[in-house]
Amino acid sequence: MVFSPDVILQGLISGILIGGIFALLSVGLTLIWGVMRIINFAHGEFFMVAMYIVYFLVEKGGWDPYLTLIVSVPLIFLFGVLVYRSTIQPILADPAMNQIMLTLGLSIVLSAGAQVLFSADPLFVVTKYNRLVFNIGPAVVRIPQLIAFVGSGLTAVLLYLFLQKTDAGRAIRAASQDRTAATLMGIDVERTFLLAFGLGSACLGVAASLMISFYYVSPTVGAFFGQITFIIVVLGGMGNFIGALVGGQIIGLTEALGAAILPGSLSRVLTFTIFILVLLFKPQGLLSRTRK
Amino acid sequence: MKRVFWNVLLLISLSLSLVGCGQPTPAVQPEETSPPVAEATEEPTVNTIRLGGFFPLTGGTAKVGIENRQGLQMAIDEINAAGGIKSLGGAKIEMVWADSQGKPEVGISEVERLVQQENVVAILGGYESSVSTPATQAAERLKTPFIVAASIADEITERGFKYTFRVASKADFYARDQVLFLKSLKDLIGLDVKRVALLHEDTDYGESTAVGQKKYLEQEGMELTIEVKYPSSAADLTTEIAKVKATNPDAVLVVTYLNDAILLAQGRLAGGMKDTPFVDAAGGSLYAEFTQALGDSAEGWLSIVEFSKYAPKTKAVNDKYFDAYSVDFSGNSALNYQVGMVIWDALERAGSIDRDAVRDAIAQTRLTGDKVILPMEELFFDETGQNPQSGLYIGQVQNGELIPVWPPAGAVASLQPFGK
Amino acid sequence: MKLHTYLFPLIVLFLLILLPFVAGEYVLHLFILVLLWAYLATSWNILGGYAGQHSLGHGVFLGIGAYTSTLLFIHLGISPWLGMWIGGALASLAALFIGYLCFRYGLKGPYFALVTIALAEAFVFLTSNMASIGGARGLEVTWIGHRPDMMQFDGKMGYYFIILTILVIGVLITLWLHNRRPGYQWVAVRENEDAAEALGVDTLRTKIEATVLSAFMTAIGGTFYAQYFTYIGPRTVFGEIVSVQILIFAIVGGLGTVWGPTVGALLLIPVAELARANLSGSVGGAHLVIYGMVMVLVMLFMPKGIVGLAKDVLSKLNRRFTKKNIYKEAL
Repeated sequence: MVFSPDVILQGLISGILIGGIFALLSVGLTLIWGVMRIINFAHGEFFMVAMYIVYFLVEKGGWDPYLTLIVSVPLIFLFGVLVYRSTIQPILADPAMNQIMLTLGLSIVLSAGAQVLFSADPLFVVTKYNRLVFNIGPAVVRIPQLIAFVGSGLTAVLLYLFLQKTDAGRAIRAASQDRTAATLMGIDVERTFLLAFGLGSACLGVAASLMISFYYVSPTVGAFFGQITFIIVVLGGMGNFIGALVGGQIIGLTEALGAAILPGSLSRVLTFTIFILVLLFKPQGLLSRTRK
Repeated sequence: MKRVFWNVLLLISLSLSLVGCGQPTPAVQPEETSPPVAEATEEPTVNTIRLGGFFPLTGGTAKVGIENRQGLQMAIDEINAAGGIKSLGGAKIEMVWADSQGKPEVGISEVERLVQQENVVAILGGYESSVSTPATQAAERLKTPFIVAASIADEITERGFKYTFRVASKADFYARDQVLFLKSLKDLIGLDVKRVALLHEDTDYGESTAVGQKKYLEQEGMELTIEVKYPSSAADLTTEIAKVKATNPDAVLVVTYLNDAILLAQGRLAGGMKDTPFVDAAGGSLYAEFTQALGDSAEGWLSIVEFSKYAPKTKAVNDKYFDAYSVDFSGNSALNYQVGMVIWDALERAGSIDRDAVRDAIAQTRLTGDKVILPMEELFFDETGQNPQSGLYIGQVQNGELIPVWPPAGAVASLQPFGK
Repeated sequence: MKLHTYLFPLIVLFLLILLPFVAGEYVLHLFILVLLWAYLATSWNILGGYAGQHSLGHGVFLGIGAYTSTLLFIHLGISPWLGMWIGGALASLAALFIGYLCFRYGLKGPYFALVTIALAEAFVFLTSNMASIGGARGLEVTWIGHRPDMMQFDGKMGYYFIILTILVIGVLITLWLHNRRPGYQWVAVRENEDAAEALGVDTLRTKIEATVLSAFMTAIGGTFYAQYFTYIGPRTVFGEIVSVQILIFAIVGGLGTVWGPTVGALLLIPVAELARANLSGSVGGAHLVIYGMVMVLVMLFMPKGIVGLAKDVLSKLNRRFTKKNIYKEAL
């Protein structure tokens, strides 16, 4: 175990930055989960798809990575809607496990499909933002990560305002609280679900545009981030927006501080342990008032 | 009704079994008995020698797997273009490709298929140690020679097997040469390396190299300041680098795959370690993407290199490879090409496609001259099946390319600053 | 009735026993894979299909079985025949612990699935970091020659008959459950836990029993896995991917049916192997896409799996042909 202040400071900073990104990835999942009670095991793979789209725009099209937002967000929104319509909507009423199996199958199709189409190579994009850094004392802050952190925060705020202030947003919240009551109130639940799924996926588009400046894309990218987002959503409480943000920070810090202090790659074990403990003792999430 | 249904199912499963029971393809007709001369007077229909090529053609390491295959393919093409195996009447070589997908259990399946179904005389290739280790054991039990091209885990040639041979260096040699290089820095640039940190990815590749690194560091009296492991899928390695920096090492030995190599190269500059030599063990830094993605940030980075196109006798063969595939040889493709040369020589001497005869011929290999494109005087196998003279260079990224700077006998340029 | 039901499986069993004497080594290898995965899926089915608790982390038990017998063999020279039972016992203990922890705190459905995934992945990282048990490099089962007493054979026949026997036992256990009270209780818990509880079924105990039995059986499979493949590593036996693979065959074949897992394995594995052999060069990874698509399509169109669907179709046909009798019974 290492307890050097420099390293811990670095861990702290890295943890907060990466936590913001984790949060953005998870916010979409918690929205979908909360509204439709569907655990989309292919959430990570949707992110992978978004990353590929952004990669090609930047690499082949020469776009500025941040400009790709204009395209990535609507495209992934559409993608989410399409997938929802064709595979998920039909089984909304089926037992939860069927839904899990289906989305699992979907995730396999997407990642294996990506491998067939693009090969398993990790693909990097070289942008002028890659190497910009500045220092806080001995610790390093990578500018693309900082931008991603800020961007995630902004997106979260926008999403929050949408959910609170707009009719469509309120419809989503109503549908997530009580499906039947919402229908009785005249809300088109079908359309609301569609919107929620699309929005949840669109967040991934934002994340992809933000992350391409410092992360690579490959068919397996989805697996890693998918797992992390599940952990965060459970931590924060399914459907709990703020919970996803807080959960993202917690996990980001756990991973980074874990790496700073623990030997080997045990930080991942720590993350899983927290996950299991929360599932056992407070599966509704750390932030919910007890309501099973 | 029920009966009919079940009987139909019965028929379906029977037919499925029949599909699987296809006749295994014979190697060369007839096997084992006729002398080579007789075969030359047979029908003008193709007389072929079937060899198995064993690589991860899909999956996470597919890129390297395909690269490996290309190296071997070029050698085979050369053999066939030169008239095939003369001692077998000009029989041409036919490659049967097997995809291990980078998974041990799939690799074993594929070895089974190559030997039982496709009837190959020998198996060549292998990339990941975790796959080659059980695959060579499977081949051993099936009494089929397996020449390992690129897997470096020590145990592959430490099990007393008779049918396993390896052209690549052992992980041990990589570690040995990394440490020897560090030791030589004193003479090269007056840097007395006393404290070394290890930083590597956490799969068997990183671990087996680390075992050797620790051993040689101890041998040379250098202090191990810290060993930091990280999952190869890590998104960010700034904390790991900070951990290493906190122990103030004179040098850092790393073992990487591509994306962590890039993260480390960037991270060490940002983390204020630009003047500390980072030496990779021929991992991710050998890819073209490494220098492409990093640009100037890669300058000064060091790594073990298995092959260099700048060595005198390798320019011609490298140009040929470049013409065919538009990239230079990498250590991996070069190793596989070398394996091709070994099997060519062995088959010629064996004059037979009997697996044991071929095995004995391989064991007696003594290759020199043009047929050896790797840094060694003579290629032969010791009683464990290992190629003991396997040597390695240390290359440094200078102007976007890895140039050999060590050992002095093979150096093409002098050592530059460790980072810009 | 009884003879009809078992006639077909008995025919298949007979054919399977004949197989090694007529087929080549590669075909035997293929069938060993089929039988092994059928067995693992059958073991999973005990918990997932019958008790309705879908574990996505059965790799934990597979791994415990594989590692235990292999470590005992490598370090103490203990025969895997014995090590197998010890592995099974350890896995059962783990299952007891995990089951108690999860079910005591009322984890159900997706939450239980998530815990199992997390556990499986945690085990991967834990074992990767423990150099004393091989670390990331894994363990190799050293070949010491043809030693049936050590579960090592020249050629495939020995392995084939072992796994065939194990599968038959697994299916028999499932059959027994299917037709007896413990099974009925488990199904009751699966279908409606609260109702079952109200009827006096000790749901906690039921679920734990199912977990323990399933774990024990899977661990035995783990020992065979280690002996046959001769290499095990953290990611090959623990891990989410293996865990999902175990259940694919059960799902496609039919959850909660006796023959489902076997049917699923029999159909999917040859497809995968053929795909890899023939498509390798050109379209790498295509067979995985097939697996995934099959899962999606099965969930969309026949969630009860092949055998489940067959049963439905048959009972519909049955009813059509015995409509008149229903009226008779009602009178």
